Amino acid sequence: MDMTLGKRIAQYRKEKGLTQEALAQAMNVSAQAVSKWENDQTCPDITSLPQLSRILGVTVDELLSGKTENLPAVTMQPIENRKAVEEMILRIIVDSADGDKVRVNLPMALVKVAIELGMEMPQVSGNNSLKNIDFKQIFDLVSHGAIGNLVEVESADGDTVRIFVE
Amino acid sequence: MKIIFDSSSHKNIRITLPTGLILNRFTALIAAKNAQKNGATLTYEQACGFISVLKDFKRMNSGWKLIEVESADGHHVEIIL
Repeated sequence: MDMTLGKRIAQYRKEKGLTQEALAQAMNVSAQAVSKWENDQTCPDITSLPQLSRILGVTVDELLSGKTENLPAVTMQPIENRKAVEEMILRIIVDSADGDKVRVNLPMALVKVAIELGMEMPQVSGNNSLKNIDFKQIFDLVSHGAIGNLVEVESADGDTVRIFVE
Repeated sequence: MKIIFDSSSHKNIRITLPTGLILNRFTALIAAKNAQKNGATLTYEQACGFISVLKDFKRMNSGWKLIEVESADGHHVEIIL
């Protein structure tokens, strides 16, 4: 069933544990305005969408289309379909429970050199969630044709780390 | 290289820096010294090798968004090669 923009705003607001008043205050509008958005009587101003999406902890695209950041599942590529590892991209997606989002797009060529140099990813990123992730293993997997969402970690604090290769 | 800092409460900042100024042997030396100071194992030669690959990648993929950070309080930082 397709959800309207208003329904999505209401859903994301509730997921964030915000009241209409709290959202209205953060957006510098009246609570009635938020109520009208959620009942699809009016729409938020287009220039306020980035701020609204940040408060609700989603992207503008997710807010407007309802599409979440779906990552491709892991697949094994046959040798004839494989790209050179150096042409591939390793994406690190960190979503903290506090609502902070980090996106790192690393060329595999760079990851390869970092591994060869003996660098550890937490040394580069400073992120403790990446401490136990073995990037050499990931590189080996990719070398053998694995692509997609290779790692998904959810910590007790609610932080999530995902690593996928494309 | 571009560093973009957008803030909901402060002035937005856009910094464009020549890549040669950021990625060179001198910055490799600084990176290696700082890494060693913080207990990481990164030698000057390793830092030079890393920077060399990064420069090659930049040559082929200008405008590549390397890092994007969005904080809960509305700050947005991007590093574009």
